[in-house]
Amino acid sequence: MSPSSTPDCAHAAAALVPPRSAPNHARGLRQWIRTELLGSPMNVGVTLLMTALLVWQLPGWVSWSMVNAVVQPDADACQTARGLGACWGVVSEKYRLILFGRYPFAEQWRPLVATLGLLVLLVASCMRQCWHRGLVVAWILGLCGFFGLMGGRLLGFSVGLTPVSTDQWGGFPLTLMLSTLSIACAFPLAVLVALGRRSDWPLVRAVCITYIELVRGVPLISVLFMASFMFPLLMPPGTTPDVLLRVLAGITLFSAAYLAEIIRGGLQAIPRGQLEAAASLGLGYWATQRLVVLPQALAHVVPGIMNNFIAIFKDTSLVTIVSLYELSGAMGLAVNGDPNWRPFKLEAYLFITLIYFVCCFAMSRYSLWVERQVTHR
Amino acid sequence: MTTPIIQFEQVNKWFDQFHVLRDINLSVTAGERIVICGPSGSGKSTLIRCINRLEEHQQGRITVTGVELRDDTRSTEAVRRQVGMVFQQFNLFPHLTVLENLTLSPIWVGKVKPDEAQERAMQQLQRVRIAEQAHKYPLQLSGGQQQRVAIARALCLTPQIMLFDEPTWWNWPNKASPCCASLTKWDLHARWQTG
Amino acid sequence: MRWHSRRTRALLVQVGLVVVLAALVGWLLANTLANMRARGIQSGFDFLLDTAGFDIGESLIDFDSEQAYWRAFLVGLLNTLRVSVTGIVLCTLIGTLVGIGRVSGNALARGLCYVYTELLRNVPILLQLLMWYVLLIEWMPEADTPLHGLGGLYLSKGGLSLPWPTWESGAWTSALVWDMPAVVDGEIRGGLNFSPEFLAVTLGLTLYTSAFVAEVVRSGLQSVARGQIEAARSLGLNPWLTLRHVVLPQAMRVIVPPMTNQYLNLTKNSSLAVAIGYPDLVNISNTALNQTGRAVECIAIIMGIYLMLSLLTSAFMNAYNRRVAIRER
Repeated sequence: MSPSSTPDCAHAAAALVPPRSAPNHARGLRQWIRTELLGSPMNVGVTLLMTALLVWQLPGWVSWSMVNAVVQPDADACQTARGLGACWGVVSEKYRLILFGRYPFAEQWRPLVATLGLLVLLVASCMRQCWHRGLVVAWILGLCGFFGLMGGRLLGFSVGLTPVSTDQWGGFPLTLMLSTLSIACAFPLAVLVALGRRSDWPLVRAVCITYIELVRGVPLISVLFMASFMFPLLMPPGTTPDVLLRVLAGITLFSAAYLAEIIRGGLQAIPRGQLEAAASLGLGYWATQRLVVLPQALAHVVPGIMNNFIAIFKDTSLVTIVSLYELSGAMGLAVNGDPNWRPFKLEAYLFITLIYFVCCFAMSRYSLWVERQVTHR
Repeated sequence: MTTPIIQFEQVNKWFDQFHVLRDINLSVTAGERIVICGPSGSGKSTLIRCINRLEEHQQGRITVTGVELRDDTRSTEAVRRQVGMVFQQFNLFPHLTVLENLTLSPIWVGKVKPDEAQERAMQQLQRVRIAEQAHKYPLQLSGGQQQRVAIARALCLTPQIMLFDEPTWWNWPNKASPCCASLTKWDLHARWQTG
Repeated sequence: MRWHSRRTRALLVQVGLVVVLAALVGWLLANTLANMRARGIQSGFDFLLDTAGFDIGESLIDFDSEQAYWRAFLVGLLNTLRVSVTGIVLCTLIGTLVGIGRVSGNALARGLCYVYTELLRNVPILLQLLMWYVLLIEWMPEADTPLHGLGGLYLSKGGLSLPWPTWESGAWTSALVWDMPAVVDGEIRGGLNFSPEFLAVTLGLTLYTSAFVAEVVRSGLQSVARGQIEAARSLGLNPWLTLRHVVLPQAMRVIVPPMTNQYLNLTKNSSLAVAIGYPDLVNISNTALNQTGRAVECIAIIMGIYLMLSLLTSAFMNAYNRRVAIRER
């Protein structure tokens, strides 16, 4: 290129340099180490600090949790290994009690099948290919199947299995059921409240804002206490609503408020032009919401809804405090009552931590993936 | 022959495996005005961004105002003080007023006293005919106004070299545009003077 | 009256809503009164003036079982604030460091900070609190052979003790002296003491919330467009000046609202201390509820106080947002 003369386009085109491949030293492990770990004095310092930290802690943890660990359900072996190795024997001994709670031992295949069914439904609902009317039918059948299997009764009619009352349900099936049902029931309520919060009618708006701010301002534990202690007082004298139903109602009301705020964020992202176009086509309020606004808004906030589901999934651990024995409560029952295994509570805690971590991490990865899909459209 | 103020010698750059700058040789003397044109994706922005080391070249030598651009923060910062850039997206600082945008670098890098920096900034704003917006925030201005502020901000450092990345609204050499007229006749055919 | 007019419809719907809500509330109230009469429960907040009849393990103000319920609730509130404020300060410090580490130029720092945030965010807070409690109660040495370090730090099953400056006035002079903890008769006396319950709650809440704070800080730092940093560098500003004048002011606007949300979450999560036995507001309210049977009043007190804390925080955050908002057309 000669800058002082007028560019000669034909000359330039004829002299086009062919591309070459990048030189090897531009990439590779050594270069990566140089830039990422040793780029500047501060960088070097940080690398040294982190390496020292890892060298100091990691070998100890590895030897405690894996090398010296006891896996057989042998309480004496665990006692001798105390302090040196983890006692995973408590898991191999008590895992059924931890996973299924106080459910009758012989019938534990039922919650297993019911949970697997619910998991299959949940995974299917996350895949775009499955989003059509059949999914709703599948859900209704799936939920009926879940309750039929777990309780042995469906809507009052026996299904030929031994009935098991709800206060014996526990462990992982209970966690999954509470999270799934509360989100499913909270969703329609949340949509209505979100629409109401953005409405032009002052009274409707006031009611919705009061509900949202009231519920978001208090801890879940107080809502659960309210559900547990106050709901029986609020019902007509003589009726005692099922404890599971009460807790479910409490969690549903709680998650609906947060979900409403998330959906409202999606509604706000819809440009005014969309509403104007719908109005000019003659669509009324509800038709506009159903056909134009909500499909776009909900697609936007799927990651937010997923995050809400993850939060509710973790929050179900609180129902232990109102005496429903989901995963952590069941573990408490299993280990606290048995003096042989009580010293090894920590290992049992780590076991359920692993379960929660795997589930929540998988869900958050999925939510990130969905978010990437949405932003790349 | 005067020493070139910008010199590219056999410069090559790759983005991963994509060879974007191939054997570039370029010599620019002080006072020259260069326009680089080409189809989208041909490397125009990459080339000028190599001049103030916003992009790093992998092969070849780039010398700007006598300093060779290397993997060395001191030489890079010395070069950047002599090169002013007007970005395609302007990149004005939205949390600062127009005047604060202009005085940020002179005060904190040039160690100029605040009053003096403000005076110089107002002079630059007057040159691009936007002095009355000095206390507004960038997002309160129109696109054309923002571009003028971006130019004034780069001029505040009295650089020896000015780089313009995709000045698509810059209808120069359309002398009908008042801003353009004042700039072309005064600044771009001569070396920068301080003050 | 025109039935299809928008105003009429709006009026009708809202009046209808009020009627339905009033009917619902009325029905619930009637049930509640009937139930309470049947069970012999009295209503009213007058129980707050009655003698509490229970002791509280730790308290910032003095309290014994002879004092009234309202004072017990006050002790609970102060304990909640004590845990919350400590937690908020610590989690901000830790979370900011981890958030910066997540976007730093060092791959090892980025990896470790990522593991930290993912590990802590994906496990329920209740579980973390219980695990910390088990660690502090069962894995710490006994009080007569505590872990001893840094000149005056003692850690054992009895908790943590630190040296604390106190004002000692003698016959002629008064001076600021260090009250050093020491092992006396098999337990640790002196200094500033933290019970294992307080430690478990504070540690659990701090670490859990710091993972979320790290995410907030990370997204705030990443929200500043790359072009801003390039413009600053091309104007000659070094990395420190760029951070101080260009990145941080813009990042703070994105960081402060969700950060305030996390502070609120920490305060609300402190209610889980009831599972460990730390005498916070919910724990004391629970005891009062079990003793007096006044479920509605006790739960109303808890909800009222937390609501007030939330509204105060929201008001502060809205004011801050208005002050630093980026002015646009």
